[in-house]
Amino acid sequence: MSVLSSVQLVTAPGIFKNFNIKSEMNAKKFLTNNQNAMHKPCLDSVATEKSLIEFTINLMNQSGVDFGDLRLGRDFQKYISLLNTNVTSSRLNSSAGIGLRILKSGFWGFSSTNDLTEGGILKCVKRAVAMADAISAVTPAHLGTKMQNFAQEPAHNAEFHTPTEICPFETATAIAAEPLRNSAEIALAISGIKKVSAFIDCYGKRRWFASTQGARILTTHCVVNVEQIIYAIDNGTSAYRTLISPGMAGGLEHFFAADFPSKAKNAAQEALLKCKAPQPKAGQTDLILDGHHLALTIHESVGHPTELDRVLGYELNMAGGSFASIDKLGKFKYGSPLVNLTADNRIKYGGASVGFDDEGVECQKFPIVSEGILAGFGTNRETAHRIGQKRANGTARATSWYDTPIVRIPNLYLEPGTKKLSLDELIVDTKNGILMMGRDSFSIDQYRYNFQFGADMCFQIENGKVTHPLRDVIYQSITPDFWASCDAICDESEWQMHGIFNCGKGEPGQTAKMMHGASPSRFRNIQVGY
Amino acid sequence: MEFNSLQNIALESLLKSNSLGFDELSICARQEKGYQIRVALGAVCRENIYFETHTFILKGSWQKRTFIESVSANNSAEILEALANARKDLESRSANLEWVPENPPQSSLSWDTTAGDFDIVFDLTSLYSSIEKNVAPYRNKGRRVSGFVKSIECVSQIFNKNDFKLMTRGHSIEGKFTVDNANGVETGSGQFSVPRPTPASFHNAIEKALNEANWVCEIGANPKELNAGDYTILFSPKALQALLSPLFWYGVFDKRKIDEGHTFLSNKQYEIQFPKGLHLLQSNQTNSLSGTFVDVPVLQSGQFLSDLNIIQNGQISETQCTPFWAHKNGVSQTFNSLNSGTFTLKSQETKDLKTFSDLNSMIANTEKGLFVAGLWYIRMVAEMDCVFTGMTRDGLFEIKNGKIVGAVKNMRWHQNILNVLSNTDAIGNESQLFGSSRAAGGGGLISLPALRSHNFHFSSVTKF
Repeated sequence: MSVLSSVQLVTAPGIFKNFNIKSEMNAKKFLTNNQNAMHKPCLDSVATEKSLIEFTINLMNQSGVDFGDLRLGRDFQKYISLLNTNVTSSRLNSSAGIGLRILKSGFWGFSSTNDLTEGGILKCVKRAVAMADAISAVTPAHLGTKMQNFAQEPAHNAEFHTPTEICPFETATAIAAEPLRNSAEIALAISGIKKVSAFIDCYGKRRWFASTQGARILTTHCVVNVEQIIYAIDNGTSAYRTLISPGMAGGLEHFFAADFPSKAKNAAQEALLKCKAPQPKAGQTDLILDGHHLALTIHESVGHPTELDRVLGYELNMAGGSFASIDKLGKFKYGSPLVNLTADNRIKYGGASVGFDDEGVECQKFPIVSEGILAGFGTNRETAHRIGQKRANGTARATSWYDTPIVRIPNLYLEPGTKKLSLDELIVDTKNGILMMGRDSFSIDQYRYNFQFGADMCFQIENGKVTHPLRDVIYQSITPDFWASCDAICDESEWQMHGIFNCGKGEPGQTAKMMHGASPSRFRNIQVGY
Repeated sequence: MEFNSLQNIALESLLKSNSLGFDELSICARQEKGYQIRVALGAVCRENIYFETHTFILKGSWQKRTFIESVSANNSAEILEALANARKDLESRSANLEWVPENPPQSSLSWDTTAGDFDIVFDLTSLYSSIEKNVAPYRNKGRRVSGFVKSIECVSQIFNKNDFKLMTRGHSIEGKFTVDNANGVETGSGQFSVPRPTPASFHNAIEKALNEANWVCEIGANPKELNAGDYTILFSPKALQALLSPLFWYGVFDKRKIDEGHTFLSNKQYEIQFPKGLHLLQSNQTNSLSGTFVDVPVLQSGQFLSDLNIIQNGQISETQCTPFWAHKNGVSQTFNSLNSGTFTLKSQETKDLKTFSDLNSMIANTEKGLFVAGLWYIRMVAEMDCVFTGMTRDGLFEIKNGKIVGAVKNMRWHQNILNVLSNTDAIGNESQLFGSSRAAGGGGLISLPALRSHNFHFSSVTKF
């Protein structure tokens, strides 16, 4: 197999604050056996994996299918939890198997198994075919998927491996947890800090994609997310401050580089400040939202409503629909002219940068909102034709080998402002308002229209200066009104990326990972409080 | 692989693991099979899955360090390799200061929650026909129908070093359907959970859920916009399930959080008053759960369970207590360590709480208020105030003089959920079962009636 160089990871705008290259260079010393678990075959050898793939594809072809594809591999998840300096549990899940789907006479069949013998595969293919046959026997033909509408994609023969310096599945729990224990110790030494909880959540996969159209793709991917919550009890109440790792694709190196112990004291002091902070006065005010906070606002109010399967009604029963209907493409004013939101599944360290999606489509860059106007949707091979696309844009992903690929939010970011503007300058330029940092409570309606968001740490701005902390700040708005109120975006030097680790969608539910990024931005006259 | 083979692998691995020196070790062989039939845009669609998997869940401790690992192994050698790696990993760690011994009993227990054989997969062709038959009339009227039906059978066998054995089997089906008129404004949904299904119950449940969804959709035409403010609310059982579940997810009744001072009930546990006849309890053996997969009287470690009466006699009566907190404070560990997702609301007519036979009689008894058919996206906003937010979804209606007089556009709410129970004045006698299908130790079953409460705060309006 040739390793194609068509998927080149690109560097995101701005800089990675908190990212220490020196730490990354020293990363390998943490490996216990200097291996990457995702690089090990899920069967006894790569040759056996390939042989089983060919066996499966042959069976599909012999079954008279119009199209078939498979995802074969192993998934890993490691979850370590800590309370104070104590590792309270360590959980490792690992499963290998195959999920395959076929399109026959316009209807899909899907089946999965972890019986990776030829007998097991035979049973699995038969089930998928029987399913498609049974559905087509009772459903009017016009409701099926037409093969001519299925977006074309070159049959890639390729490999893509997410750069992973410190494999979390080959690293001792104690080593992975050490920075969190140190950080907790620093926080707990401060009077008023009563409890520190934390977790390390690591997800990895080794996955083969193959199709009856000839694609053969091997990808490995790993993402690590770490959170530590510092609880203060003071002034007859309680408050917390959260440290979060950037949630970037790769191994534990990003978490180690984030250096939680160096931030613990400040976070603990801020948690104590929150205990004495007033709640904000309800009413309309200007907000400055930092990149970390905006990552979630972008995700919920732009990422989800522009998933085309959702727009078309596929997700109405659970996740919901979208106010951003197809007829609005190219016309609808999503935000102010300053607002440019770009999808890019090729960004280095992005959780959705997987090389090729789970339909074998190469990852791409495409606009979602251009100068405030709705400019694109995330598509899969089945839905792309609905907006006139000849090619899907590589956003279909299946969380595990036993899941079906569905449209997922890509790495999606707010382009930094083109004029020089720092956060300090933006604060000085804001007469009265609230600075909101980090993420907290969030909720949005099923059409992604009415939402509310909270933040981890908030400060009152008065006459261009940060004056005092606030607690329990939430704001409510309507998606296009909110983005239309954006009148300033800081420049590239303030841009930060943040991973989203548990994006839920689908029935049965799947969770996906992706990255969002933004520079601090200002939004005018937003309703605060309830 | 046959389940017998999985049991043999688990037992063989346990016997061979003696040399690894775990203080406690249990191996659970688990097999799941099932399917989820997904409907979108009026027909069975692409996310329509069939699966059959097995897992071994390894759980152990060594010198006050614990681990849990699940592996999809095919033989005892793979399990022993995983155990050896886990043992090595435990050695690298310091002791867990919150570890308490499980003290499992030295006995065997077999608990079968199915009504019949394990392999109960119903004829798929018949199910597809049933779905098409029920969905087509709405599709032909221009409605969009989406939804799913899910059937999961799960069997698990636990062996541990102390010769304790626990076998559980479960089979249940669930489903939910949404019907809307394609403009996104009139939407209704209906859902079901059938704990001991038969083919007939499956078909009936689909029909009933679709009828419910369509009923809400039909009366949802031309919704009007109401102002934000405080309203009397009649919650459907489905809405109440969505409203009360977050109390458990966020640990509002967690004794440790209460004692430590960082939740609403800290210092206020005995201040908040509820109607005397309202009874919120966690129990896996109430009438409505009898025979379901949660109807197992022991934890996976073998300890017997007792009910937890959270709200009783007008106040918070008992709270959830983990094994460590119980050990530290010399009190009893409670039900929550098995399954925080299982709870029930019961009632008894008292002077401050009226009971009604069904939802219609509750509507007829409501002079002015709103009927909430469903809620969505509920999150904690202010933990010390127990304030949550969320949206109404799939049905919000105005009630005047005992009748539903029209639909209302969905609204966002911010509310102390405990105060919803506190402000309750009417409750139904008829409960609906909600749940997710897993054998003992996972998922949960919730049984709830309709409920009426006052001064529920809506904070903003949406377009739909």
